[in-house]
Amino acid sequence: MERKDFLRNGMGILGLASIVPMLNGCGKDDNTTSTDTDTTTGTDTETGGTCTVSDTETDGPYPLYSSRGSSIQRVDITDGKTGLPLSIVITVRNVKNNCAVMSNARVDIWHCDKDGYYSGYSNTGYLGTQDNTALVFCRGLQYSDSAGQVKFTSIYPGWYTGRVTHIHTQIYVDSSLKLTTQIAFPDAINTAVYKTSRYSAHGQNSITNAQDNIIMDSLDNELATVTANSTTGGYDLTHTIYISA
Amino acid sequence: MEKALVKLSFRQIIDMHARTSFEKDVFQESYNEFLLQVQAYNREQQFTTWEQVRAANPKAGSLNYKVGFSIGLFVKGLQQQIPGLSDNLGNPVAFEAHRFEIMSADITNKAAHKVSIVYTTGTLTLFGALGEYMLLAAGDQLNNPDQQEVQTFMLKLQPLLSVSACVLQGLPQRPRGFATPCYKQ
Repeated sequence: MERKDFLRNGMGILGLASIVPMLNGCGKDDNTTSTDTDTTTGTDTETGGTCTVSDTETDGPYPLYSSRGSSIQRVDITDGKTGLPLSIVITVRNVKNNCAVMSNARVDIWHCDKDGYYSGYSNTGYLGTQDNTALVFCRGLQYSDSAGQVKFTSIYPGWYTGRVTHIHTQIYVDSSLKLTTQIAFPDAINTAVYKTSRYSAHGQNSITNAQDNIIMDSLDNELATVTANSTTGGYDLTHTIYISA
Repeated sequence: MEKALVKLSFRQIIDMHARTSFEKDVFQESYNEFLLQVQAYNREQQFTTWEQVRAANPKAGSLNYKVGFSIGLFVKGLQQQIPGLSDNLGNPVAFEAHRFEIMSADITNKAAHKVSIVYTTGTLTLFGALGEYMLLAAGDQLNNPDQQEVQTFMLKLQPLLSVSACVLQGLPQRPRGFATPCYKQ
């Protein structure tokens, strides 16, 4: 959705001065609006159907990126953060190549910790202000393998005022930014997770996916498949992102 | 001069004249990363310089964070020693935090790429200044009731070195970690 709509709707719904910085941070950035069209289609070689570029979303206030000197090119992005284990598998597919899987695409992801705080900058939440400038928890990047997949190990994200649970992601191919988008979680699982002991202090988020101004219009392609993992006691997330490359 | 708890900051500027392997790595990788990340704020490719991008969209200032983390492993490789700064005996000065900043950059001209890293020490005790030198000790040595010997070092005042935080002795006692008017965390 567009920034102006988000800000208008967000302010109307929430109307709290204290959350304005966070809303600004999460609003769609005019200059980040992708030139990719979401009407590009291709034929999925596996299903015989068509695929469409995943919706573009804001990159939020402070995404971080990496290179060979990167402190975030890694599989385990937990950095000691507590929470329910979350295994993340993202598959990248290319609508310009019959929806075939795309190898060697750089996938950056970042999400907040169980209490709704990001690493990389100073942010304010229900536990007050935390200066996480020097930290990189819950941030990672990987290059997709021959199956078009990247894998991360993390913790189930928490939430912060104004947003439903989400993961930010950005896809580069050959040093070209192809897509900035977000990944949503099923409402019922969010609710279940936030009842558990590590998350219950923050309580339940008052908004659901359908009420979230960023992804409410994009759920059809941004909602991940999330299943319980009896071995880890956490969850496994799988999601496919379609790019035009 | 009054004894004080201080933090010192030293600014390293890295540009096309980078000499050490660290400087070359930072110059190379931060420029590569800048080229990647600036795309989010330059979708129409209407800008070429960092100044233009930032002027058009203040949010692009976040590239300082984004690009900065791309050199995290290089900074980690410094093993907490500030490059280019040593005490009067030639010993390295330890830092606890660093902040990366893009000073200038041009998508079409790598030679214009210029960045800085500000390294900030942990808390030091500043006993005073002797000529051009500061007499310092690691940690908080203001309270030393048993008059224990304290390891000190001397550091020359020089360009790009600054006292970035201080707590003067004699100020009302506050809980440790609590910010005072001249002490920022």
